[in-house]
Amino acid sequence: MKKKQILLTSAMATTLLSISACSSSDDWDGNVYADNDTQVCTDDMGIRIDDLWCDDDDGDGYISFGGKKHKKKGWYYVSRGSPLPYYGDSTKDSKFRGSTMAAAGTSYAKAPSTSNMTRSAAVSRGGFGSSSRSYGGGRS
Amino acid sequence: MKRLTVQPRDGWQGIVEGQGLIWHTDPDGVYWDESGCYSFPLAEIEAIEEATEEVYSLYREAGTEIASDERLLSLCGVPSNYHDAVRNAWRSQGPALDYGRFDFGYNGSGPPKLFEFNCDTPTSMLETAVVQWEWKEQVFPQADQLNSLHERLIERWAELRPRLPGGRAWFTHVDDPAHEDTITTTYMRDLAEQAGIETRAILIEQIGIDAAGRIVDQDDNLITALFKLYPWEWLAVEDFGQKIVPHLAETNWIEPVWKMMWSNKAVLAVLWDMFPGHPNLLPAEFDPNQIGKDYVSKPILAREGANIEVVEQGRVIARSEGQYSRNRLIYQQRYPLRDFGKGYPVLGSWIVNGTAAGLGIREDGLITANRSRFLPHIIEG
Repeated sequence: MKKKQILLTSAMATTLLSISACSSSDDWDGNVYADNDTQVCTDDMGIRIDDLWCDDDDGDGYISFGGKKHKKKGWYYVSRGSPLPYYGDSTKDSKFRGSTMAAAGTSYAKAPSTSNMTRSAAVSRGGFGSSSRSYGGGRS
Repeated sequence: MKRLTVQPRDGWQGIVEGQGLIWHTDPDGVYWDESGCYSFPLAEIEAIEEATEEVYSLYREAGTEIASDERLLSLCGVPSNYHDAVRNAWRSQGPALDYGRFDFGYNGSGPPKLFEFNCDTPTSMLETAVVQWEWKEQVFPQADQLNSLHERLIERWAELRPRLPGGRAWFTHVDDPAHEDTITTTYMRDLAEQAGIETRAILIEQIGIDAAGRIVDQDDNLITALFKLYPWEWLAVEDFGQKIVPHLAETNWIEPVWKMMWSNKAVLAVLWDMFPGHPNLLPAEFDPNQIGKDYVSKPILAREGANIEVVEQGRVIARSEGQYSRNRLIYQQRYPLRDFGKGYPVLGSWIVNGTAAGLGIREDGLITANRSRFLPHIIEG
């Protein structure tokens, strides 16, 4: 007979305590801040793209990312304490404090995964969920 | 197969609540019922596993057939504006858990017979994977159980992780009063986290769309992978249903939109047409005149045993209520369920990516519905 141990981790524990696993915090200003000096990959227009494209050169100088063609450029070095750009954000925006040149003697961290996403403003919400008001939960 | 009477554990309510099963009882009685259990010899368990994997292979063949036929897509309830998306998703076979629960009729003799396949939003997952296993460990520690669902889902998420952008997925569901959807989705989220996936949660009505028609979360992040405990046939007809069609391929939907081909009752007639006489299938037809006088009629699209009629010798002997339309029905030959003393059991046999993964049993009258009792099982030593 097979023995096993079933582990349930933080998501379950949190939900059981609150039954609010799907709530979102309202006090977030939408930015992720650099805890350390941080490098992010950009295309030649200064648009942030996935670090993979600066780590791994496939030779042709162009990449497809987020549905667009980007010419690879290089790293942008974000100063500690600055907001971090999301994918698709322009590092030329003055709120992203930093430089295209690395400071001598400074080591740079990779961006945290919380900033490794693409943001796009919702123009509408609430367009899903209406059927459940007639039928109940989505389970089967 | 036999039914055993068992002494419930002292304080069982607190025990199962601690494991997440907070919907164990409602005003009509218990849902989690550990006053009994079913016991199987190993040979029967092996037959159930074999039937599960065999019927899954039939669904794969049916998927290819349906995807190539506009008429079958429509018969299966896929809206015409989703046909291309379903076909493309089937061809590309993007990331999917490819999991589900086959409901089988089984009375202890002969092969298990398929009633239906719940593969878009299957539930009773926590009860099957966690609660009945922990019960067995306490009450029948020397016995075994058909149960690898927890481990196989973690393995499957680990396989999917490199295919999900950023190794990240969002999890969405309805905020249901009993919290069954909330806990089931959160359990799935927990399994994904154990597989190394970064997870985020969002209620179904919080999902937004951007100007391009892409779905975004409550913080305006593009949703790149979405586990949904919310049926495709509902998504497709709601306000965002048409708007998301051009961008369906830009999100990894788990499960994918091709599950619409399997998550309906019309597919039962397609299967019977493709594999007539298969030992694990019951005759199923769109025309009641083709099926005889003993049958079960089911809406093409319905859930949790709603709007079903059981007919014996042309006379309705059981009927369930519900909000679903009975305009389009499937007629399935009636299976001789057996009453083991407290009701008729239906086997819920789980599959993950083609491998049998666990068994959960529901017990009730002639129709198994949302409040049918869940009983644990053991394999005789």
